[in-house]
Amino acid sequence: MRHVGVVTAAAFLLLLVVAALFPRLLAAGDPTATDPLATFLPPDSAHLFGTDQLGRDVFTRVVHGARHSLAIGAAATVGGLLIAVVWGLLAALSGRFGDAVLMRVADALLALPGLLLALLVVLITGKGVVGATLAVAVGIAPGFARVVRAQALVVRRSGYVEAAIGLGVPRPLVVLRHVLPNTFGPLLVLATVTLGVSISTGAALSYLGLGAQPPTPEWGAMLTESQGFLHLAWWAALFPGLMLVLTVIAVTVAGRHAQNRSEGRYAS
Amino acid sequence: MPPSRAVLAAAVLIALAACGTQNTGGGGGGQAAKPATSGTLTHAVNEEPDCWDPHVSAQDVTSFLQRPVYDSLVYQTPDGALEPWLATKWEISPDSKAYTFTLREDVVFHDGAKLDAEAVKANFDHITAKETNSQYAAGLLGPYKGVSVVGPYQVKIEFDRPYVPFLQAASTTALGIASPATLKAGPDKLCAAGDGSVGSGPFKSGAYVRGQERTYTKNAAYDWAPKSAGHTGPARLDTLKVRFIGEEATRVGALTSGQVDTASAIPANQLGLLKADPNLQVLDKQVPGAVNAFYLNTKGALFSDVRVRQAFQRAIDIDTLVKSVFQGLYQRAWSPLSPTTPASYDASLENTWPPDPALAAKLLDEAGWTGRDAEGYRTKDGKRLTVVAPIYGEASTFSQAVQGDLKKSGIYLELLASTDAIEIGGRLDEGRYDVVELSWARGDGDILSHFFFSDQTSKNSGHNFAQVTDPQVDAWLTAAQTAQEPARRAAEYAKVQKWAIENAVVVPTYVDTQNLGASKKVRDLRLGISAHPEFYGAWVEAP
Repeated sequence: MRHVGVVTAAAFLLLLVVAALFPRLLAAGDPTATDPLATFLPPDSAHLFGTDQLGRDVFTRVVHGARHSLAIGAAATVGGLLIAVVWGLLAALSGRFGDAVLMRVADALLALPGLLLALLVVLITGKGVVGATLAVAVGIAPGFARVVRAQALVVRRSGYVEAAIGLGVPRPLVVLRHVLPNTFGPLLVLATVTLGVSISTGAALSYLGLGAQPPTPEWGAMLTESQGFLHLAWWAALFPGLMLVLTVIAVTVAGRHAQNRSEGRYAS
Repeated sequence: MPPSRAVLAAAVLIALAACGTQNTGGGGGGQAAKPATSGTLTHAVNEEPDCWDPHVSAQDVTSFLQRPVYDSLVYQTPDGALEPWLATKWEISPDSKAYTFTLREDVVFHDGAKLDAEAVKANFDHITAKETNSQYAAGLLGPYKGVSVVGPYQVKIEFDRPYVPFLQAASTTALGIASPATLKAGPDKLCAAGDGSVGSGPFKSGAYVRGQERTYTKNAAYDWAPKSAGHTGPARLDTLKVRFIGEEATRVGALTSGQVDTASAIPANQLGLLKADPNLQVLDKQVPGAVNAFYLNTKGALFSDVRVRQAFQRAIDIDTLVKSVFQGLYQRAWSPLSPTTPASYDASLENTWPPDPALAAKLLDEAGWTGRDAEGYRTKDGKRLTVVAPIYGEASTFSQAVQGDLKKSGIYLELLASTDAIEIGGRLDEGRYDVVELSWARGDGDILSHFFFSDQTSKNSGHNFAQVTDPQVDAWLTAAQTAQEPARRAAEYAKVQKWAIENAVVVPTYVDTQNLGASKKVRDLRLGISAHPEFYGAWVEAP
């Protein structure tokens, strides 16, 4: 039974990736094309998800929005990983004092909820897709950094690292060739689980008007734009919201599955 | 069974009653109930002033929300007529350069000080002082020369050249009269509302919590309302509360759920909801002054070419967009002036520049914008035809609809929305924009001077965003400020309106309309000249 969920999630994610990479395969129209004579049309055969306040086709916008919403989440996760790798490795390898300073900073940042931290960062980076992506990345980096550090500490004491040092391999090379690759496993699993959070945080920033700007068809931004018209056109808010929820669920289900599998493998 | 004739007749009557468009005088049912002289009214607004000193702030909302506290020398009725208020009479010199006001002798400010000529002089000195840094009030004074005390209750205001619009300007809250003692309290205190706002109005300034609520209390000593105010003596309400609810749906929700009694700026798409509610009424009024319009930067690289300006003007299907976005409730504009602006609107411009995408395409071709990029926008030398539009706050649905419509003509309207006032202000001052979209309420045709007189630049706190520097336009506007007869002024303003349309320095879009939602329990509330509610006569029926 568990596999039904995972397979459904995987199929949905595959569809999303197709929508993100080749949106015109699923919706050939222009997501920003307005039609003042066709505003607030309810869902029917011509407009599967209806039209919004500017007469734009909501289905087309939802499909094309996959790219923006996923891109913010994915880029932020990768960005967060990059920051965390540098941060965690520096902490693990820079002696007791450096470790203490870097980890206390991480602790301090971890005390703030991710969304709040992201909001603070947006104040500095400025709003827009790039600013929001950076903000989400910084928001998730401290948690990642702790995992990198812990893993690096374990790997550093392993036989093969000590052997490499004993053989006189230069330290930077040891870090790059031996320590780094071996910290990646658990990190990738964590990243998959975090991806869902990143997507929803990115959408939250767009919802608050700090991420993607109109007329970009981003799901969070679509929610903001349509909330003033809820009583006239529930469909303009429902579908982007639903996609966001389903995406985060699917990513989390897939991530948990990967986590379980990897933990199982390490245990055996 | 067919409906009886009586039922049909009743239906027709109801339909006719529902067709009234200018419901500016409120008051629920027809029976004449005796007004209550106590009670509380809570009003929701969409905006909150940055600075509450009406002498400083350029925000319309500051003028509206300080009106209960500050009286003016002159009162402008909802129809635009001017009548005595703090001044009992005035004399205008034959050359229209000097105005001598005779003041009421019974007016007392909220702090106990008496209104006299010295107090009025202190106010004009405060408005025009360099350190006040007035964003709007000083501009209303135009060619101001100075103020002098003629007698204990007589004050004279002089101008360098004839300046007829001054009388209407003197009726605005921006030139409202504050207690002279508070004017010395410094900008921080004056901007902060609370006890920093001391006037002679029907309401005293009470507690204020930024972002939430401002309270006003009845001035029991008030006995100097203008003749057309609706009644005399103190205000009927004991307490007036104003809540700041920026979010449209929340504001409407506060009204429909009874948390507030009245709410300003109801979006057109919510009006149907309110009108269907048996407990609510809607008052509406077209705002006088400058309609919502795009001002095209004639000194910018793009719009210095009149052909590109005309293309922009004709490319937009304004009728359809206005009808669509405002549910058919707002009027499409043909002139930069609103039809409700007293004695200055040029109706002959109507239907003279209908949308014409074919003409727009031809003009753009001639101007060299012949290429097309991957997204379908026109290009010239590889550069996209981009029209930069800085927006303070968020891009409205209407702006986005225009953006979508212009795309069809290959024009990219870049809506640069920002809540950073310094960034937007810098752009406007330095001319780094192609269009600015705005409207401006004023009950006088002289608002045209703020938009088209050569010295009214953004840096000078003016609104000449089109950057018009035409001696002929200046001459017309000056002539309109000199002529005392309304018909002659109207003729000069008509020339300016016609010129602005023909030269495509402005693209008027729609006539801004105030839609005020109110509980039917609220009585005798009316919309003033600026289309904001006047609370002086209002009262709330006991539940």
